[in-house]
Amino acid sequence: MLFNSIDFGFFLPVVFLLYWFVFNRNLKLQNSFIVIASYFFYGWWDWRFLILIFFSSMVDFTIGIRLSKAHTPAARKSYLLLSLFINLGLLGFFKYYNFFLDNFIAAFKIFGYSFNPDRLNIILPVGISFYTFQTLSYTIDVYRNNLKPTKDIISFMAFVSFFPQLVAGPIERASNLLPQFFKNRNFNYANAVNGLRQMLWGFFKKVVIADNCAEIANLYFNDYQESSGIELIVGAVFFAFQIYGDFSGYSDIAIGTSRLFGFNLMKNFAFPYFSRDIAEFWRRWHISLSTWFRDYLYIPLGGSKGTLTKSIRNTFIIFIVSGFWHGANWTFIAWGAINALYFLPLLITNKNRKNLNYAAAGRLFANFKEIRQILFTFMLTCLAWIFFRADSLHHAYSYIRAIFFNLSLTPHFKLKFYFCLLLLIFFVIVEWLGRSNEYAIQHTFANNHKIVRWTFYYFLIIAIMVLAGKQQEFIYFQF
Amino acid sequence: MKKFILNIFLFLLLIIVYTVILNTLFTKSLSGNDHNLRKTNYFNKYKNQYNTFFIGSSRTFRHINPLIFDSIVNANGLTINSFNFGTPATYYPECFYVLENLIQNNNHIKYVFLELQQVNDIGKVNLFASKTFYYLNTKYLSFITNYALNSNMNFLHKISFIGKYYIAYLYKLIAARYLLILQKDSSGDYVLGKNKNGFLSLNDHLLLTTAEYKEINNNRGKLLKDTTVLRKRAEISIRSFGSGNYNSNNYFNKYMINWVNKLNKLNVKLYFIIPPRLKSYEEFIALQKTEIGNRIINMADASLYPQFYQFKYSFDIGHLNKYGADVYTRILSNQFLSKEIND
Repeated sequence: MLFNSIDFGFFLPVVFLLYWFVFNRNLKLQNSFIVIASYFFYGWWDWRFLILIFFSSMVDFTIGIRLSKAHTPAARKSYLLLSLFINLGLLGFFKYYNFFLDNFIAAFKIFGYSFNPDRLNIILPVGISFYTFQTLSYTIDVYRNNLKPTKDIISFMAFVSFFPQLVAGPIERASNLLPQFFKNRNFNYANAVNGLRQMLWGFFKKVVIADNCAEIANLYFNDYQESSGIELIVGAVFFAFQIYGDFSGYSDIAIGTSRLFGFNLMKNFAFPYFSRDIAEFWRRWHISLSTWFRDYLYIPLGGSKGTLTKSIRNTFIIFIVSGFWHGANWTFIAWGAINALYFLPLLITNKNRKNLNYAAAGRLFANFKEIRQILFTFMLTCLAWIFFRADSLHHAYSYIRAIFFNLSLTPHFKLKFYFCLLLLIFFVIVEWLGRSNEYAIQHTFANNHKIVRWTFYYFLIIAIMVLAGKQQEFIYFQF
Repeated sequence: MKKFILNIFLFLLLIIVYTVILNTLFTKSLSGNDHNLRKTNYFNKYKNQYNTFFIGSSRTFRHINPLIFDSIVNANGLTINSFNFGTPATYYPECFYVLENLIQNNNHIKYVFLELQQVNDIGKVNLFASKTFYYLNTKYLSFITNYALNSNMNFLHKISFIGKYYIAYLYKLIAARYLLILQKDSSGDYVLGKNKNGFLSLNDHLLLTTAEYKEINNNRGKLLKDTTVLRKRAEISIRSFGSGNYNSNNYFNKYMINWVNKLNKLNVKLYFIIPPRLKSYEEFIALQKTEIGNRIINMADASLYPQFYQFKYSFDIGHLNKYGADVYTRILSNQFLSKEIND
């Protein structure tokens, strides 16, 4: 079920009313209802994959309990490895089987051997990259004694399958989300209104910004050979906003929806395109994933402690694995590697923790230096996004090549481009003005009369209805 | 909680009221059907030349050539100058809207040919597309509701069928339709056809323009992958017309009879065409048994017209190629003539 669908439009109010009016008699009942609603939400896409999420939940629930009862380090490690094997095994099979097979075949060909095993027609379960990481965070935290395992199967299933963040994150930590299922939840008016407001902004980002930018980006990525260099640069920039609008919009809707039910999810995006360097960008982009890799991969590998060589090695591992997590294609690995290369100079010069506060904190306008830094960082990310968006390494290389070779061609922008440009200008201004908040419009017109706020919300809703681009699947649904 | 729900309700109510008022004040007749808009604008420039038109979906647009039709019919004593108003994906009840507009603005029409179709079950993907709701009003909602209630759909299907139209209509009311004035007609002159009579075969389409190129070729590809579909469609036709079994939708029958009577009063003869290659003909067989049965030209019976199910006359699963359209129009003209003479 997509958030921007009529199905969700019916689903959410029904679930909301039942949750607060019918199933609020006791906590267990309410959590059970969350499980039912979440399974319904997920099963709406394909009921067969409910078996997978159920299996994944049961495995890690059981392993969590076994970990607490295991007395020897070897036994505990065995359980952890079992959880890793099963979760990553499922993820690896569904997401990467054909990728590895194709590369295996290609490698054999290089040595002159022909090898043609059957390629499997595997359907990638929506959200598998997210919920497997979420359950892994549970078992790893239990293993590390950072979290007590739960014996409440219903709460655990609700934690794994919680519908607002099930299919595209944020990837919640068990230590943050699971305890919220153990506490009574009381309806909070301010929190619910905040949630609706965040959902509204999320829909605007997804439906208006992302979908409209996608039309422009697709135009140039599909026809890069005939496009001018300027048009191709525009394509890359518009893709940058497409992916940001898509993913951060979805996160806003997920976080906002959770607030309606009394849950607080972690922030996933913190205005990353206003970053002054790449390190800051990675502290602000897909925070739930980057912190997951930091805590469960980077730090266990040694992090930045130890020699510089080790730090560099660990940095590359993190970024490449992060790239690979996004998709079974060499382009994602290349994207990860490029970001690692961007990060290296900051790591080596120990400048990767410079810009911890947001740009132009306490000021309306950024100074010249900040603007230069922001634009430079944005340009670097756009260059990397070309690899992310491209169908293949060759496509990415050809696209970049065409930017330089076709610079002399005259760009021909259609009306749609100017329309999208105006939208982006409006969007960037709103985001800039709201950059100190959790999301851009959190406090917009907060001190004004209700009529002013409601008029603003009205215009956003009308914009969503009228300016919606052609519906694109949420990009992160492929993960 | 009460305050929250009350505020949401109030907010939504204000949106609806505000937008409905703006829609009423500022909206003008907008077409969500670019092809039809292009054809209507052209037709209105030269309307005094035409006294006959064909209305329907792409099965009309791609199959009926007015040049051939007029030449055969006129050679037999009638005076006809026809225009093809068929446009892709124009189903019921949108066709009735097109027919109403044409009849309202043109008082020299003698004949109207309306393609018979089942009423469109809106796909979820099209729920908020302008083409789905631009023409909707309470009259068509009433048609949809009564049509569905009198059909043999199961209960859930009826709810879903009717519900989607109401949702689309509600969306039309609140979606600031007046802002759709920003939309321009995005079709090209190719929709008028090579001879500017509204007919364009799919073969000629590909020669004339690159518009819709990908979709047209994809559809053709589906037929080339599996030509047995044609045989299956032929079997459906033979079974349907051979057995004579049908499911009558009494409301639909009455609705169509009313249309015939309404146009009769305006001295316009309304004929219906049953196109080939459909998945079901039950309602049309039922309609054939009513008092307007003589106004129905059956072009779908594979036992009579096997050529319409042959690969050599096909472009894709649903459409004939230009040779097929040629044959189709000739047979249609002769069928029409025999009905006119006998009338």
